[in-house]
Amino acid sequence: MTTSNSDAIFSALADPTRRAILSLIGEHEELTAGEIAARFDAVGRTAVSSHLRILRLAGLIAERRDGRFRHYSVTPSPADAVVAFLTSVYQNSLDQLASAVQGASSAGGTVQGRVDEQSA
Amino acid sequence: MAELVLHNEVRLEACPSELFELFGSGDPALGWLFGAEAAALRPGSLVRLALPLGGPTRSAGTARVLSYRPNRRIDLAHESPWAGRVVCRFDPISGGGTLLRVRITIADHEVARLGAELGLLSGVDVNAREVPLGLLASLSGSAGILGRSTVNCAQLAVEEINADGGVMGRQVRLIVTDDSTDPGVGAIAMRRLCRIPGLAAVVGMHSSATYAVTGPIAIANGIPYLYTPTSEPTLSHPLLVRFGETPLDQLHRALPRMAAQTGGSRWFLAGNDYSWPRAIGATARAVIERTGGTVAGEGYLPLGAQEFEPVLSAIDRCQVDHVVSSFVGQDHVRFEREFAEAGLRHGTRTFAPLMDDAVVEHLGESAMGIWNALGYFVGLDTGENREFLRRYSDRFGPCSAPVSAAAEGVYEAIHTWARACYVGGGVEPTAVLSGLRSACFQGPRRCDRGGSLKSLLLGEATRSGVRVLDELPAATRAS
Repeated sequence: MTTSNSDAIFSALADPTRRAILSLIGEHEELTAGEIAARFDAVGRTAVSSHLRILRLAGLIAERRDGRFRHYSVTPSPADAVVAFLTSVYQNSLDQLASAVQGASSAGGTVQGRVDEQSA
Repeated sequence: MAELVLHNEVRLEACPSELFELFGSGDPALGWLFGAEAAALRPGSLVRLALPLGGPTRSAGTARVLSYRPNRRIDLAHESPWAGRVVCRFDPISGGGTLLRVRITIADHEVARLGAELGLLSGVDVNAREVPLGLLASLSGSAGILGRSTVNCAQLAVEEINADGGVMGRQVRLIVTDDSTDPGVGAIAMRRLCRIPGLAAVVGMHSSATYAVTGPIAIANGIPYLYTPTSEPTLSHPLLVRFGETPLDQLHRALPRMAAQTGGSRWFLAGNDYSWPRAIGATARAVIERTGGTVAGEGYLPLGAQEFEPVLSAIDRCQVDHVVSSFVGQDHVRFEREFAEAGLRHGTRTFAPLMDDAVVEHLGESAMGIWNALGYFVGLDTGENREFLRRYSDRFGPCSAPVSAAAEGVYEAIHTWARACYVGGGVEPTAVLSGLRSACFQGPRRCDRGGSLKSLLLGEATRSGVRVLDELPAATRAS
């Protein structure tokens, strides 16, 4: 998984409304944008569309067009997304530490993430 | 156990000792891990985290120091919003600087839980020979900082039941899910639980705001729902079984006792703005006015409030003797800290219906002198409680999240449910509900059949936890 993909997944999942939207879509095979917006009254339809776009660009959901309707479903390979999300959460803290102790412009801090699956 | 291991590293110009010193300072500019707030660096001490997960109430987490070597290594148990192990190593680089390596280990079942909650992974596989039992608890959001001991206590109860042969000869499988201290998320989590084939019951340890939407889902699915926290009596249905203290249980004797001790009569009622704190406020007002006191002011703030100043200055202006503070989770911690910092502890006494040993750990010095009345405090001096605390410590280690009253309530509810299955002769709802009428579990709390409380403990926050001052009869038993 590339860093930029990881970052996109982290940015997408770092927002509570987007996590809730993703969780809602995961409850169903497919949902239309209208059905999703109907469950998020307080958020507003335009904002829901923009959340859906961010989730789609992060590769977390797929969009299928059918006439004037857009249907959304959770994409396969979700385990990778959870791992990418967790990696980014920790990586984010080291990035911030590096910029705080060395000045935001310094290139001295290099952060690397790596993932192993293991049985213990 | 299979687990996920993540490695992160960063090369920094600072030397190991400088970086080691930065850990736990509470400065958010250092990132959520190094900028965490650690009152002390010793095994077992609490580390408060502010994770970048968006939204003011969704970012609080906790970890605990397992061990450390000055300038070399810090070993942490991450407790919430997820459980894992975080080891930070500080290696000097020849020529100056530090290679900081962070190794994170998260159990596969915890990764699966997170995935399911994000809607990314499908639900759990339950073996048909097992009895699935759901736990809906707040593991993230404002109340999430108290979540780890709840999960531990649920796990301990289930392991004890299974070691004893399970229920009706079948092993119990605990399925943990998080409401993020948010009713909307709670509804999704509850529907996910209810779709698990053969789900026997759900144990709930979350706000009554979530309960108001998850209760009807349990009813619609025919699932017994054992709701354990202190709460106001709201929904009523045979499938909904409440275990916790009611506002009247908590307040009717304790508030007059507090007024008698201080000699004061003026009260301020403060809390988060939803049904439970409002019910505490209404009950407190009735008790105070009945006993000749005056409510001088009231202030309620939304969950996840950022600004406590309006309520703090109102308390100051009202010149009160006592405060009833029904904030929740992270809001509770922040309110009581700011209250103490503003010097308001001098000359007032606070009664906080959610104050327990876990809250006192988060509050530290600013908790001193707060009162509460609950069915359980860690300091309860009985053989049953000492035995329970020993089993908890044996199972989760000396550096685990300390038991809270809320968590212990979950432990008792699960044991009572298992007894009810035995008495009722099955795990299906009719058997469990009929069994609950006479099932009795001899745990640390003073309970009657069906888990109803006989008495509460009056406690005061001290430097060594909550000190038990007295035992008070529950309201339903009071004359």
